[in-house]
Amino acid sequence: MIYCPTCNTANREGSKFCNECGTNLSNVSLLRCPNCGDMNPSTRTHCANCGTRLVVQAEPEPEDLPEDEAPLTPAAAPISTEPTPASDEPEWLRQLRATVTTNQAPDVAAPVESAPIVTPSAIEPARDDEMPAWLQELHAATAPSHEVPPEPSVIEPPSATHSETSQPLEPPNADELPAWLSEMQPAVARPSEVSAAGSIEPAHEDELPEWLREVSESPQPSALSPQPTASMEQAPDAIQPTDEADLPDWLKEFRDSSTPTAATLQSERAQPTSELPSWLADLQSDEPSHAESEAAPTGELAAAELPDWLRELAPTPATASTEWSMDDVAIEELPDWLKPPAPAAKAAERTAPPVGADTLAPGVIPAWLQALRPGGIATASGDVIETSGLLAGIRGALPIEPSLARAHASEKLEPAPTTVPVGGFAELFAPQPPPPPVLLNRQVRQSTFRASWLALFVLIVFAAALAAFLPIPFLRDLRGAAITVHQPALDYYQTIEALRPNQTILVAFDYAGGTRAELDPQTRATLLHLLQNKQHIIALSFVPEGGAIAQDVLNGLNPANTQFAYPYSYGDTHINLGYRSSGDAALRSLADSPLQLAPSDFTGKPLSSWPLTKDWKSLSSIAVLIVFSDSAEQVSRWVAQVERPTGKLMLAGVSALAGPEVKPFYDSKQIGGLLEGVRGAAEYEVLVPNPSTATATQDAISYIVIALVAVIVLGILFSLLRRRAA
Amino acid sequence: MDALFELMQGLLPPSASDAVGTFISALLTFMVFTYIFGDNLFWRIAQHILIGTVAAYSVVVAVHTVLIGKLLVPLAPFAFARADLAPDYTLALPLALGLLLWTKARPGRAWIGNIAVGFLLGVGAGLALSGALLGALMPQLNRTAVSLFDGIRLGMTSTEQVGIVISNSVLVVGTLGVLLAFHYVRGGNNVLARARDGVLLPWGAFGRGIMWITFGAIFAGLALSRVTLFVERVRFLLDALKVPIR
Repeated sequence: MIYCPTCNTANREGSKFCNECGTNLSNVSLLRCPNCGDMNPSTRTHCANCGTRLVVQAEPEPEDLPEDEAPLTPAAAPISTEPTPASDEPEWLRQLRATVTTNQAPDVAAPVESAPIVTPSAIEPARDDEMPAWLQELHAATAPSHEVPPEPSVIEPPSATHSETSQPLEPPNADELPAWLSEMQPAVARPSEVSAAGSIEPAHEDELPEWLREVSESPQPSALSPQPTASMEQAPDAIQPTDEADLPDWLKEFRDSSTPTAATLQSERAQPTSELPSWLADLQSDEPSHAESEAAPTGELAAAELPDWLRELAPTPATASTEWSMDDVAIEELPDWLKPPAPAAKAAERTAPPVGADTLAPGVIPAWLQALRPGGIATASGDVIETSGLLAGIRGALPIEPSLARAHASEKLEPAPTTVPVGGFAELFAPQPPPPPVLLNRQVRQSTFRASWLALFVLIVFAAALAAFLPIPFLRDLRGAAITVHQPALDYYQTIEALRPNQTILVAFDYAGGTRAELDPQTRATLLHLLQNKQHIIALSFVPEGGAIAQDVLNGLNPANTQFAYPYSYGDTHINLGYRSSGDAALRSLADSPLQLAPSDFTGKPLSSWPLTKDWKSLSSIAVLIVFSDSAEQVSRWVAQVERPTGKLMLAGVSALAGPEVKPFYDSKQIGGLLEGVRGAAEYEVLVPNPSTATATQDAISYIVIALVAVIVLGILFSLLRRRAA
Repeated sequence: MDALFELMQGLLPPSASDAVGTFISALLTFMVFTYIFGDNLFWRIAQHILIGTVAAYSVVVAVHTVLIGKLLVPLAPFAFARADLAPDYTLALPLALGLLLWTKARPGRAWIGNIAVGFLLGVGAGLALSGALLGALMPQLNRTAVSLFDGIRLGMTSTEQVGIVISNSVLVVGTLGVLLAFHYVRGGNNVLARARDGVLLPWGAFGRGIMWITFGAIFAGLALSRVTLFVERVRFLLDALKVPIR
């Protein structure tokens, strides 16, 4: 089976393309897991079956590690993957290994993941003949164990992404190095500590600190083990008890400036970059490559503080890659970047703020890093075309905001250029210029005048006005002599007509001003019919605007404003309770105790002071409930909270929009009659009979509907003809 | 405000207030109609006036009618010079619940307001649930459980009787079809599964057609409602311009 490196789909052996995503599988090679034997794609770094690491970048000495963690060494890039032959090892190293194997087993077996990576200078001590005299003395005094001066070169383990890189990195040229690396050139070296021959001068006994002398007298082999996998974070702690006065100058400066304790390292590791000490922040922000990152802590040591045997061991630029071997390092091959920096440059480096991509001067960025800079070019349409990197040629890939936050444009996309150079994924994380503001389609549409809309508007206005001037007898002839009355309106009329005189009707004005054009004709015709039949009216509303609407309609029913004569007196024939807070609880309160809901009318006068409501205590005295509403939900509330508990007969007048949703209540006989929109009002006007605005409005609506239907039909025909012509 | 209104009524002739109101209404109507030329200043002004007026009116009515008229005056009538009313101290409880809602303004004290919110939601949900179940759901179910001959009365013509039977058939089949439109179980090789798919799938498709017809009717009602409003506005403008209309 061949596993797709993209989607991890298992494909048949010999497949050239992935069955799932079409990825080219011809270049996919397999790696056998050293632990379980499973085959994994070469793009994997860990076995999919057992999790064993497949890409071994750093292989420590076999005898240094326990058997169960042999392949799990974190990637230490400068270390060669080939083990050093045992015959090439110096005698002191073999003795040291033997000692560590017997005495330091717990330390060596520490989890590899938590072990910091030690720079080559810390890993490989000098050979016997290259060791300084003071170290040789120390070695002789502490035999059989071997100790090296405590090195502060403990750095963070490289990131997983970095450690998985198997490709050797090209060593940067000296002129391409960033500033912090260039400043680490061996401009300053203390001649008193470094001899001309390159060997380190032996330290005098009186220059040795107290703690070193104590170490010479009473060796502690477990404290400072040179093993690469041992926890070097414990080393600074081991040297803490040293008296400051006993330290040599180079060690004082070193301790003051760059030596962190294990505790500080632990705390700094959990802090963000901005809170790191300067030496570590510079290390993290300035490292252009893995090799350089491991060399950076070594650079913290002043040049004069490095013994010559360490400088001689530093690799040359030609070998500063992930493939060079420690055994191949010669003293004269020490690269410039490993040489100690000048004190002034080091001080400036410490005070420098955390360096980001923006603060890097363009001149100090290496060419290989320069190629990874973002190459997005903002186009006129607001998209970004990648000119370099793996996303080269893709429009709108970076940033993601144009793809998600903007409306989809209907314009065709221009083909992306294909001759742009290819870069890396670093563009994904590079800062991008803010995209130009793009108008949404709706905004564009709003700002664009369309003549067709204006033509349609003029047509509708003409149709509406035409009905006002013309009696349209031909339309009436087409519809018949009068408006056809449907059964819901007929039931509505017959229910009111069947009431005896002097009965009280509760009328709810549950609609706002936006639907007055539909519902006012209904209420006007209904209330007029009730007053003519000598019924009494109690009006109320559960909509804030409804109270005023009710009063306006009742005022308009004054016989002085109509052609009819009937008894009309506020408090005797009708009363307005005004607005009452809405909701199911208010409606249920009306059903249970109307006086508790509305103890006074809309003027604030108690209901007991009006003749009509003087003895009104419950809905039992109400003959019919009539609800005018523009909301089907409100009608449903009335049915559920008032009609069902009280069993009162209920009628409803609703807008044309709410009609289809209220109609089921009429079908289930929960509503005795129903008026829908102006059409229902016109039907009721025909039944009363009292032809009014509803009937006249019906003519205008008929004109408009005919005009709209004609426009739709013509539009469809025009579209079909144009499509056929195309 | 009332004094200002009375002053204006005193200064203006009796029909002047109506004339001013009609002029403002006509002007605002024209400003709204300018939207046909796209988003513009006049449309925006009319829109803001409408929203601001409605919001302000609602707040004034709620405070004047509910907060003062139904809570504060009955609770402390002596404070409002209403000696004819006896104080109803039981209203202190809703007042306290209302005041607790103000604690929602501070996140640290918001939990105190949960008492009032819980009371409102509990009472509202209880009433709405029982009302919807007994007032809407059960009667509607009973209405759909009809026989095909339900509604036929003596004296009806044969055409009317056939129409009623067809109507009842569409009611029952359509209701079940709408329910089956939300039946998502598909597939299977056994006989029952094939029979289920062969019957229920077309029935569910029929139910979806019924749903589309319902949606179309609702949309037609919306269009008709807006056309009605437009016609009323046109008639109002013609009346305001003293154009004789029928």
